[in-house]
Amino acid sequence: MITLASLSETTSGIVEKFGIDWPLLVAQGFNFILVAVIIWHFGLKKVLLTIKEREEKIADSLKNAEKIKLELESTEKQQQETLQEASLEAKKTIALAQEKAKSYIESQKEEARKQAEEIIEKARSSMALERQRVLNDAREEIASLVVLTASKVLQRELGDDEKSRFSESAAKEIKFSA
Amino acid sequence: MSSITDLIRKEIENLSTDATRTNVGTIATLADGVARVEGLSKVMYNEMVEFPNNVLGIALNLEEDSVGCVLLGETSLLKEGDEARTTGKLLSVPVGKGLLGRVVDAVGRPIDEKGPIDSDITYPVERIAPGIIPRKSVTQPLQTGIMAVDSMIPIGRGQRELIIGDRSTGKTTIAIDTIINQAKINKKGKESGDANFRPVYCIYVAVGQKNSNVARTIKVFEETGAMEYVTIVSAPAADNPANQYLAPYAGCAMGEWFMENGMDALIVYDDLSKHAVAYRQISLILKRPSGREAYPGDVFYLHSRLLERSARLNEDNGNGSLTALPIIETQMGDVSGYIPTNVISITDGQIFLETDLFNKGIRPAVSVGLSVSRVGSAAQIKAYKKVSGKVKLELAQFRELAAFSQFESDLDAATKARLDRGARIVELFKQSAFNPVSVEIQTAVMWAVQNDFFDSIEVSNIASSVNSLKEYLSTQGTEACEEIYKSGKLEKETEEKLRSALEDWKRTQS
Amino acid sequence: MLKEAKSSKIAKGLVVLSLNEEGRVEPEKINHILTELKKEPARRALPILRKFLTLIKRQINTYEGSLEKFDSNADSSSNLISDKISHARGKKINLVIQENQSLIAGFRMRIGDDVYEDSIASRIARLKKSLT
Repeated sequence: MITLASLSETTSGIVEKFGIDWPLLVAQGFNFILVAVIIWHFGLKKVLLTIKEREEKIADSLKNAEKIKLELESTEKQQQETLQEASLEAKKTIALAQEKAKSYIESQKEEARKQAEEIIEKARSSMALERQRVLNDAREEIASLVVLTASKVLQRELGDDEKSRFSESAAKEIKFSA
Repeated sequence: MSSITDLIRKEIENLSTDATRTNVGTIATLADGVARVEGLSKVMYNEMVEFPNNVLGIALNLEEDSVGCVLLGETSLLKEGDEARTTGKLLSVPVGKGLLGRVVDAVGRPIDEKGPIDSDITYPVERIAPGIIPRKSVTQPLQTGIMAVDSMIPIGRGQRELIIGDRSTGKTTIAIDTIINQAKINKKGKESGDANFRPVYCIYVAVGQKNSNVARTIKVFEETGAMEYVTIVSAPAADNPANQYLAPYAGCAMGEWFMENGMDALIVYDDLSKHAVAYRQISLILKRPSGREAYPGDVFYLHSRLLERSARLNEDNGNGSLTALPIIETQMGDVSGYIPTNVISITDGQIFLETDLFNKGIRPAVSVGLSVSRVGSAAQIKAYKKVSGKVKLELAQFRELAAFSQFESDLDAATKARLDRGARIVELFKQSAFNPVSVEIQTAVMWAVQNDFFDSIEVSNIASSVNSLKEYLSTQGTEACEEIYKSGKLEKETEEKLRSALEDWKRTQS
Repeated sequence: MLKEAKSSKIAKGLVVLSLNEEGRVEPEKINHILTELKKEPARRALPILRKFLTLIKRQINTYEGSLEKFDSNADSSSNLISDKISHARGKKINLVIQENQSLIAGFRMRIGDDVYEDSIASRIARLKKSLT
């Protein structure tokens, strides 16, 4: 009982000293709890949920990041290999193209040379043809002159005796068949 | 100039002074290129008859009272009452290698303004065909360079293969491609220096064609470098029918020279329908009795005696050959016409070209069902026979199943595979004109088809892929092709090389 | 064609009737035939007569001919030629001599469809042909 009384004196002393108003405190406590519940229900819960989600996301992202990092590494490796291969192929293709270009140039030169030779050959043969044609024409003209001359001379210069002699010999030589 | 005087002196010295005996006649009527001559009692059948102004004729109708002569020159220079005399000679044409690269008319006179023909030998235009004993069976291939023909309707040296179809179906193109391919092969063989190589010399006989067509053909030959191996005998539509009648025989005489001297020759008659029409005209004017479709009774003999002169001779007779590619034009696809059936029965097979296929874009428009080669795979190199043996069957199956292709989703896998394969082969056989393909590249392409290299390529892309493959094989994958060219066989090592080349090519396609 | 053959047969028969034993045509016999035909004309008289004329001409040409020389005189050469051809043909051949200055010298004989020639003109023509 003394303890209780001293406790109550101490308590009221403390209350007086620190200005604690019990009804107010209780009311405030009640208010606090009410606000806390409201805040918990409408605010904190969601916030905590969001925080949890974010934490999960962050954890996933970190996991993905790891995966991506690995993939990136492997892709980079592949890329390097592909680039290497491509560059080798490119080198091969360039070498081939250079070879082809070279042989193409050579073949074009050869072609041009052949064409030039052909043109010269054609010119030569057409000149030869022309010469032949002129010679043929000359030959025909000369032949016609020879024949005409012979005919005219023989007609005029052969006497009747000679003509008769010719006819006699022709008649003697000719052979008839049935 | 001294050569001219020497020549004249020589002729004067060698002049014969004997009396001459000739048999003469007088022109009684003259019409449509035919002269009726009274007299000429001692003229012989097919003898050359000489008219004034250097006009020649041939005695074709020997009747009791008169002789019917077809005239071979300018008939406007003659008149009734002119004297005709026999020459004692049959109509002959110059023959020999001097004719290669030249364009001549039906009697062998040059018309290309390149001077006289360099030839001393003449062969008569009408000759008797080789008998049975001198012949040998056809075993050497004649590569046309056209995949559709070489794979399914192979032609051999010494064979007669008819090219038949309606107008504008590509008949002449097939013949020209064959000639261009021979020139390519000849050049390659010459460069290789192979002593056993046998070049093929070509003769193209143009009967009743337009002059513009003949000029275009000559240009194609010149551009492709084939002209040095070709003789062109031209009897265009503007020529008198006697020239059109004689031209194929003249060309055949030129080809026979090659055959009888141990060489191989190819002759194209373009076309025999017009030849028959010209002969019909001559016969009607000569008042010979006419038969079916107004053709004379011996129109079969007209073509049979011409085509029988193409043969392959045995070793005792020189081992030469003359291959004939006669061309016949049908009307509305009617192969049962008079002249077409005649010539089909004479030849050793036909290549039938259809207008429908041509219009669908399948060129060459070869109808696989109606085309046949009676010589067959005996005229193919072993390598090609190996890869193309099943193609005709595959195409036949494809055609049978083509009607079902609209129900594609309902078909089983095997049928679908056949349809796919058939469609790809049809695309494969499309080939542009004047672009023959060598046999080794054809073999490689066919091998690629048979080994499924084209199965992953869309049908619409097959044509371009094939062209790309052909180019690849000509430039980079040449090793395997060279082996096929040299040996004519498809050994395992060659197949491996081919596989690797094709795989390399395939990679460039994706 | 059948009618032509018939006309031809009749004409040939008439020709046989017109010949004497030597195979020569006798004008009197021809006149007699023509007179008889006028009295009783045949159904296809014209073709028969045409054929008859052709055959008579042909028959005459077997024993008559022409001999062209540079002058129209009959001399030893023309007689020799006449004898030779008669001997070769086995019957007497009558040659009508004609002048043809263009021959220059020599002769040209035509009997039927056969022409025999040995003249300077023909040799010159032969030379011209060989030179051109």
